Amino acid sequence: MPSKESILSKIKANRPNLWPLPDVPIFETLATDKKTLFIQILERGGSKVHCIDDSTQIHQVITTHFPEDKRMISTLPTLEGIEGITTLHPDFYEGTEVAIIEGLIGVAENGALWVTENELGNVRVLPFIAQHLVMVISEKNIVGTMHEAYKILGLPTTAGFGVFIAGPSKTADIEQSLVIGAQGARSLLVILTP
Amino acid sequence: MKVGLFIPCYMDQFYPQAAIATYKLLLKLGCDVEYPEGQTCCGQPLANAGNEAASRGSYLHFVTMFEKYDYIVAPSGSCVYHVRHHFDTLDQTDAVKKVRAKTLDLTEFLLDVLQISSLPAKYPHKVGLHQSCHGLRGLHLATSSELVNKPSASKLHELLSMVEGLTLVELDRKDECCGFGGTFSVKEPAISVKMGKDRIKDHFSKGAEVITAGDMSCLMHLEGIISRQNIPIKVIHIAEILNADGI
Amino acid sequence: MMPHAQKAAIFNKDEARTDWHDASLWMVRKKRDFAVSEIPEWEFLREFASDIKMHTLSKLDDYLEAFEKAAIQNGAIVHWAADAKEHNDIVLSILNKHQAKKMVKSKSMLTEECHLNEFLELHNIEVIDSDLGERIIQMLDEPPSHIVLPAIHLKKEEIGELFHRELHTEKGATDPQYLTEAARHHLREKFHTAQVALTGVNFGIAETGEVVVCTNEGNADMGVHLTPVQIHSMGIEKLIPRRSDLAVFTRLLARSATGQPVTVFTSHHRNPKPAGEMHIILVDNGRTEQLGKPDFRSSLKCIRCGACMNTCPIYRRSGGHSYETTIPGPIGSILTPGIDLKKHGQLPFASTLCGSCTDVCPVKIDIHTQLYKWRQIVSEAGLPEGGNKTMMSIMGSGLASPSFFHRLGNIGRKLLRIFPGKERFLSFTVWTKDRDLPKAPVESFREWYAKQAKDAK
Repeated sequence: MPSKESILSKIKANRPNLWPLPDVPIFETLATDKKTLFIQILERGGSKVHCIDDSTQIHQVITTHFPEDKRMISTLPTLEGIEGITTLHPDFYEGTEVAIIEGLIGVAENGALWVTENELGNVRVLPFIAQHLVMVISEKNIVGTMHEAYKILGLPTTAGFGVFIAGPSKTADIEQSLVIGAQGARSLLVILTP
Repeated sequence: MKVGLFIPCYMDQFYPQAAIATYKLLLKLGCDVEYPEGQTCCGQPLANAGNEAASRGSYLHFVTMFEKYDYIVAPSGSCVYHVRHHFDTLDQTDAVKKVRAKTLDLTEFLLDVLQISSLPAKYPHKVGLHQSCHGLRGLHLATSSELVNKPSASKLHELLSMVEGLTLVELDRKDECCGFGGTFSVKEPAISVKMGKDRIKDHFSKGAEVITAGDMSCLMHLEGIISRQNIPIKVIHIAEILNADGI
Repeated sequence: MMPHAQKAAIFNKDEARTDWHDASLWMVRKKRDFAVSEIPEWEFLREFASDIKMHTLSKLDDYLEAFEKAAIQNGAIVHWAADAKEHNDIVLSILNKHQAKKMVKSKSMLTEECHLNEFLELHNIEVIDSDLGERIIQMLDEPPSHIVLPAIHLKKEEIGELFHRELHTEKGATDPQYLTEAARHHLREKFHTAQVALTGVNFGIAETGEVVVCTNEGNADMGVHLTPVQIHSMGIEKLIPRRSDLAVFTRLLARSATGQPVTVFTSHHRNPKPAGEMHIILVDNGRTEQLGKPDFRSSLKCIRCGACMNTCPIYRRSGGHSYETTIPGPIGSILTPGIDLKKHGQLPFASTLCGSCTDVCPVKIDIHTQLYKWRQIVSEAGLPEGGNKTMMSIMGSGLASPSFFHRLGNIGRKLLRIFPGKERFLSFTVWTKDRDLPKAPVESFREWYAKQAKDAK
């Protein structure tokens, strides 16, 4: 018997009686100010947060944080003068110093930002391969908890890849000492727009 | 209300003073308490060693001995836990069900049944409280440190707070296991002793003169290490503190 | 196989190191306590997670079929593996199809369980574990000692020495930042040159056919997105019904594992990248059998957070290798006896049944109750760990007989009065190696009570 059939028939023979599937409520955060909590949790996790009044200031914020002569890749439609996506070949993006992308949803309770391949110009590796990552998100898109986030996300439609990013890549595999910058981005700068 | 006193086997033989204190305390609080002399063991040692089936006889004997009492009180959360949670291998007759439901740890009995709010006890010492695991996580005599946002009431704390002159020390690890674990203590002696040493160190370094607990078995293990290493700290069952008159 | 107790005794010979190991893991437990204290609904989340998992197990066949259907629709290729061998053969066949000789792998306890690395190396495939901790132990040719912190048993000096040898870092360098940087450069090259990437799976979503992979380093994503072929090896119990259920599990997982509010990366893979290929291997390897054991099936709820290891006072003082299983610690001790009772039957005894594992478990597996139940099975099977059955049965009768019981107790106490102190006799030798026996009193409670009753008359 092919393994699929044998596995399924073993399950049928061995599974317990039907256990009801619970309806999980949308737990909300108790924090009154989601934006403050979001910033606080991000900073606790080693990210930097920069709030701006106007999205025209994004470019300026980036240049204050990173030297302009380094290779930058942006998938933001509004960011002029910075290289965009030119090929889908992932290895091409090795050597990217800074990647600038948009976050769709920010989660206050854990500082995670949701992004799909649509915001990555279909270059899924971009936020991981870059030495530094900048994510731009509107404070209107901050929700309290993961329950609220998944409620908004619903089921995937177009994107074949989506990821919550909650900070720079990190590890504590050597004696539990926290090291920021393991295999992925060495820093995360979150730019909060109105 | 007729109370049957159950004294774990090793307490009967090695720690009679803790059993006497339990008995006297119950008398002092006006209980009609009796020690049925035919009692043996709750069966836990064999069952925890994997021989539940061999324990059946002692389970049935326990039920026969104690079914006539309104409450069965034991100064041992561990034995009580065993009766309440592991006697399910017996046919659940009315007698079995009654005995299981009415078997209480001394601290539960004092607070939940007698509902005492004060005690005529005096014990002017610095005390470290060891939360014995079966009482803690099995009988929920306190909220374990793993659980969140539940009221952290601890029956042993509540009772000790009624004792005049007693100061409790704050521990680094308020409810880590002492390493006794019945058969574990002889099957895994290296870790068992290491766990005991670490517990004692926590209490001793916080200035405790005495370690107390609701289970004498934990204390027997700790005392064995304390004595071997000549550490100036004592162990005493909580019943002895609750029955203490100040000396 | 050396008994756990013996391995633990060896581990404990270096007391300073035992203290260090214990303190490292206790720190993780403390971080977990702080992280969960910020979530008022924590206990409800545990309950929901447990119910969602139990529900999934009760309809696992339906959900697996739904998952497969959705995944195929997404463009993934789905394989079914009855056991470790079939799993490994499938991986090899995918590698062969692409003439691949180099594979990067992110952390996957399942492939450890299947001994995939050894198998592929026999077939001349270079496998590179890309999680830093995994890479360290791979270089040392050791198994992980913890499911989340695979190199937690190693000191930075030892890692520094290893990296000096393997990655040519400076001799004597031990700074974790410096060593991590060296590994980063080493692994970057591997990500770019491997043809295939394999990951484990934290959650499979039945309704969408997605696989969700959680990491902190970003290594799984580096591999998956840089190589043309991605493989996701997934135990069949990793399934959850709905995408929204991820809210519950992502809230529980990292907080329980490391005390972080969420892993840095929670990646949802639904379809292959442009011109890429995506394989999902659904693996049984004993899981359906565990499902058939009513007392033990709830162990399949496990989400591999490792919290039971961090909290376990025995694990912390004996190290993961003392268990000689892929998954060590309390959860391993209830999962592995079902796979090989003779080999792992001793592990349910490597516990005081303190219950901390049960209370810390984010999916409410009653681990210590299952340890107790495994002990009964081990003993029933007549394995030595369960004790001599005839002796136990005689003891049992003795314990049910008041006269025998009282005589035995009195003899014990009186012997202790004759030989007080530290001498070694009877079966007390083990006890008395580092512990004294209690001082035997003149009379037992029973004798005292009888006198009282007599005096009262």
